[in-house]
Amino acid sequence: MVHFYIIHKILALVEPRRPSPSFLFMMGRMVAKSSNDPTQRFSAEAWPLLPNLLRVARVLTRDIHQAEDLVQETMLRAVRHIQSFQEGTNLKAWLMTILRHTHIDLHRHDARRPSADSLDAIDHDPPGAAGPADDDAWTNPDDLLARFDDDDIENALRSLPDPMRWTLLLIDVEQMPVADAAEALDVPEGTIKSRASRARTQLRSQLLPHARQRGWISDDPSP
Amino acid sequence: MDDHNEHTEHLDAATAKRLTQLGQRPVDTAALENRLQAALAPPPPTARTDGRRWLSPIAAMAAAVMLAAGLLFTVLQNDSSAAVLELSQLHHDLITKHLATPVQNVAEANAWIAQQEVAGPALPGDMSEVRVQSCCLADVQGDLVAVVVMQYQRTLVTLVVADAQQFAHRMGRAIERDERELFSHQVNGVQMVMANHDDRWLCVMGDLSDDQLADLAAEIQFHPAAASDPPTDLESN
Repeated sequence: MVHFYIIHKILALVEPRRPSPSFLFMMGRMVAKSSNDPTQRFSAEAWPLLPNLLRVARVLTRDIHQAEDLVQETMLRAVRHIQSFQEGTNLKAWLMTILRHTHIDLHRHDARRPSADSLDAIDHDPPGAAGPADDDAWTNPDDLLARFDDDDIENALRSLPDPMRWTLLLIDVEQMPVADAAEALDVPEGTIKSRASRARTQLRSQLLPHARQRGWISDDPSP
Repeated sequence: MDDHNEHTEHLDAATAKRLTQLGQRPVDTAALENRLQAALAPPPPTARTDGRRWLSPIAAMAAAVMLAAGLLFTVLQNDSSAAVLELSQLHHDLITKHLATPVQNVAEANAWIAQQEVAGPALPGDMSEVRVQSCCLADVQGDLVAVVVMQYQRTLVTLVVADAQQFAHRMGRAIERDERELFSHQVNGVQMVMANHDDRWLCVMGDLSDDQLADLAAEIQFHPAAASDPPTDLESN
């Protein structure tokens, strides 16, 4: 800690404006992980979260190279805003928030983005939404869901509106606590719970036609 | 109704469980980590887009090493010895840890140096005998020095360049080359040869004999423009 401070001061002589974010990041990784310094703690703890960020980014972008671009930009933004990283901040939630905003920024002009992203569409059942009739078709859901490839599941996830997709990514895929997901998505915990349930229902409704098409369940829906 | 709720809960649990399996898929972060390491280091000279300039992380590394060495030699109250020790440690770290910014040639190294917040001394323009690998800026005894790691006679050699007025350490055994006086020194097993060329002080270090290093140091030429105006040297390359 003392060494870090002194090195920081020495670097300030060479670079009078402010320490380089990359310097802080690199030095933070080298200094003890148990430090209470926010910069050091961020650096030490952010690196192990790369697989989580990359996994989510891959679902968002469909392409590993684009996913790497997205995570790289996310980490660079995080380093640039390192001063806003406060003690007690949930790092994973903070990084997921930055990842979400970065993805929005990078695809702001992408016309292919799902359009039904309004909260009305997300948090209330739209007309014709999947419901009990669809649920009845899933007589043995564990076995049926296991028959889908991961790619099928990811494609179904991608077809969901952004808030629903993000909710399932954080809650189910990344196993984040509801409170952390709520923090990352900036919504109340209750919204996360209800949205997760609606999102799972909608995910199943996306998968159901494929299950029927593949003959895994009857083509004839229940009367 | 209870049956329906129970079935819905079962469906939700099964869906959540299936999604959880997505989170257990392995992801290869090696490429991403390499990209991040490169991105967090200062961008190459031609790729600077954010308008801000940062020193290389190696500068921090070098400062850290030099700080430790500096603190040690504060006890000895010997600035020259401390500088030599710092230089040898700098060479050791650069060779073993490969932390400097990769560059292809001297022009690229000079361009990188010129883009730093505080312009460092320009590197020699004529280094045809060597293969430049990486560069950085470092702080040695409070003076900013330009550093380049290169391959010479199949050996990694570190070249340190500073303004002669600010960094004129003359020490060690005197060697003559082409009527020039060079100084050989060895510390911590690192052989180094220092010289003054064209208003610049330079030091070459590596696992070579002092004669070999003296040959290299004697061959190094600064363009006339480089000695007085580093940015011009960059442009001329």
